[in-house]
Amino acid sequence: MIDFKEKLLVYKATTKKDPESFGLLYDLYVEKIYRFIYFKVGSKEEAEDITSEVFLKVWNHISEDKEIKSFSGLLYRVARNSVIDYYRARARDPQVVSLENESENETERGFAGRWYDNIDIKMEAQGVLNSLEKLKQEYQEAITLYYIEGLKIAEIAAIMNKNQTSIRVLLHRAVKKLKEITQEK
Amino acid sequence: MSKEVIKQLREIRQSQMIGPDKTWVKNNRDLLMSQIKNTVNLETADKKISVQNFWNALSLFIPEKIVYGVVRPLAVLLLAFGITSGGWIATTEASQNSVPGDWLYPVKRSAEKTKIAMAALVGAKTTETQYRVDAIKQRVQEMKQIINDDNSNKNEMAASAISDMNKEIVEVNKNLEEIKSDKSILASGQVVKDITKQTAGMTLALKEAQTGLIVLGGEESKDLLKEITTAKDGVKSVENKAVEVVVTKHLEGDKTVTPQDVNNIVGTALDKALDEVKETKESVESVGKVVAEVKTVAATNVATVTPIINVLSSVKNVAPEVIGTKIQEVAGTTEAAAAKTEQANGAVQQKVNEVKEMLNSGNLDSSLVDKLKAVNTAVQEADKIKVDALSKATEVLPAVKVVKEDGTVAGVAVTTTPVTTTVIKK
Repeated sequence: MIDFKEKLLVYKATTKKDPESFGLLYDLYVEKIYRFIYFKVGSKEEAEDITSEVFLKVWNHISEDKEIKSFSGLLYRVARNSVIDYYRARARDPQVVSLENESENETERGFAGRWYDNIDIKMEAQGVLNSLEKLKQEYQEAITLYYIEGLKIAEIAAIMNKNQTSIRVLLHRAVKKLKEITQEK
Repeated sequence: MSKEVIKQLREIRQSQMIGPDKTWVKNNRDLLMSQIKNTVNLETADKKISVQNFWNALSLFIPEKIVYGVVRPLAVLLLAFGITSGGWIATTEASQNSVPGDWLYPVKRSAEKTKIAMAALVGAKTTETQYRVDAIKQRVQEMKQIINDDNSNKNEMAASAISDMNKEIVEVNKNLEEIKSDKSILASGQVVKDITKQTAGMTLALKEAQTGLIVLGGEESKDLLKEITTAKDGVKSVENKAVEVVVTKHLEGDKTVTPQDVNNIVGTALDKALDEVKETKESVESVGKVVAEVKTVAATNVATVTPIINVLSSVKNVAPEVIGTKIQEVAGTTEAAAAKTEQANGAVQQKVNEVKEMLNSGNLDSSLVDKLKAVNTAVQEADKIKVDALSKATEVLPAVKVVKEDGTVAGVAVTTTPVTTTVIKK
C-alpha cells in the first residue's frame, strides 16, 4: 500500500510542480528502477543512462498535467518502454556484437548478460537466476516485478497493461515454468 | 518445489545486492534537479487549477481505484447528460484540450457530434460541413498534442484520432460534392472559401508534427509518421474538393463566388504548392550534402567518424566497417531522393505555370481543378520521398529542427553536432 507521505509527494510534484517533492520521489524509487533496468540490460553504464532518462521523461510527463493514476506504475512503464527502445535501436543493426551478451534473442528474453556472476549469492538463488534467464520476457518480467521488486498485482497490471486476473495467471504459469526448468537441471 | 523457488526469489530481493552506485545516484539527482528546475515557472505552477488536480487531491484520501474506477466515470456521465440537457458551457470549454484516452474526451466528442447532428437535422448543409471541418481541425490538433506528449500508447491514441478524422473527411467530401452538384445550394462563398484557408492551417500543423517525429526518430515515430502522411492526404483531399466547389460554382454563375475569389484561392494554393516542393527539394539536398561529406570522410578513415556517430546517433557501439556500409546505403538513398525531388520541383513548377496562365487569361474552366489536383499530388509524392530519405538519414545522423526567426518550422536537417534546433535568419 502506498503510504500517505508518498501520495502527498506525488500530489505536490504533479499539481504544484514542486521539484523538491520530485527529488524525494527520485530517492524513493531510483534503486528499484535502476534494478529493474539493470536486470534487463545487464550493463551498469546503460542502466545508469536509461534510469536518468526515465526520471526526466516522467518529470516531463507530469509537467504537462497529464493524468497519473499510479506514479510507480508510470515509472516502471516508462522504464520498460525505454528498455524496449534501447533493444530496438540495437536490433536495427543485427551485426552489432556484444561480448557480454550471448543470448541469441535478447529482445525476446529481455535479460541481457549474466550480471549476477559477480555477485556473492547463495548457490540455490544463483540456480534460480540461471533458470529465470531461460524464461520468455513476459514471465521474467512478472516474476521480477512480483517476487524480486515486491510490487502488488494491481501495480504490475498497470505496468504490463493487462488486467489483474491475467497477471495472476501469468505469475502462476511463470512460476510453474521456472520450476520445470529448475527441476530439469 | 514451487515454494522453494519462490523462497529463493524472495531471498534475492532481501539480499539487496543489486543496486546503483551511491555516487552516481547523488550526482544524477543533482543533475536531474538542475534540469527540472529550469523547466518550472514557479509563479504559475502554484496557481494553475485543473480538473486533474481535483482527482489527484481526491486520490490522497480515497483509493485511486475508486476515484478513477467509480467516481470519475460517474462524473463524466453526469456531465455528458448535463451538456445535452442544460448546455454546461464551462465544461465543454474545459474539454477542448482533451485527447483520446482523457476522461473529458467523450464530453468533447459528444458536444461536436451534437452540433453536427443539429445542423444536419435542419438541412443547413454548408453549416454542417463547416462543423465537420472544425472537427477535422480538432483531430489534427489532437494528433499534434499526442505526438508531443510523452505517452506510452501514442500509436493507439493517434490511430483513434486518425480514424475519427477519416470518417469526418469522407462526410465533408460527400457534403462538398452535394453542394457542388446541387445548383440550389449556393456556395455560401465564405464558408467554402474559409475551408480552403483552414485546410492550409491543418497542413501546417501536421507538417510541424511530422518534423518533430523525424527529429525524434525511433520505431514508434515511423509508425506515427505513416499516420501523419495519411492525415495530410486526407486534409489535402478536402482542400482539393473545396477548390473544386468554388470553381464549379463560379462557372455555374453563383454570384457568391467572384472571379477574384477564384484567382485568390487557386493562386494561394499554387504558391503554397511551390513553397512546399521547394522546401522539400532543399531539405533533401541539404541532408544529401551532409551525408555525402560524412561518406567522404568515412571512405578514407571510418575510424574518425565512428565515435561521433556512436555518440550522437541512435545506433550505438557499431563496428566501423558496419558504419561504413550503413553510410554508403544512406548516401545512396539520399542521392536518389535528391534527384527525384529535383525532378518533382521542375514538374510542379511547370504545372503551376500552366494554371497561372489559365488564371491570367481568365480561362477558367473545369480542367483548372484537375491541373491543381495534379500539382497537389506531385507535391505530396515529393513530400513522401523527403520523409523516407530523412528517416533513413536519421538512422546514422541526428536530425535537427530548422526554425525561422519568427518561430515557424522551416524543415528538418541532419547534422554531426549535438544540437536539437537550428534557427535560420532571413
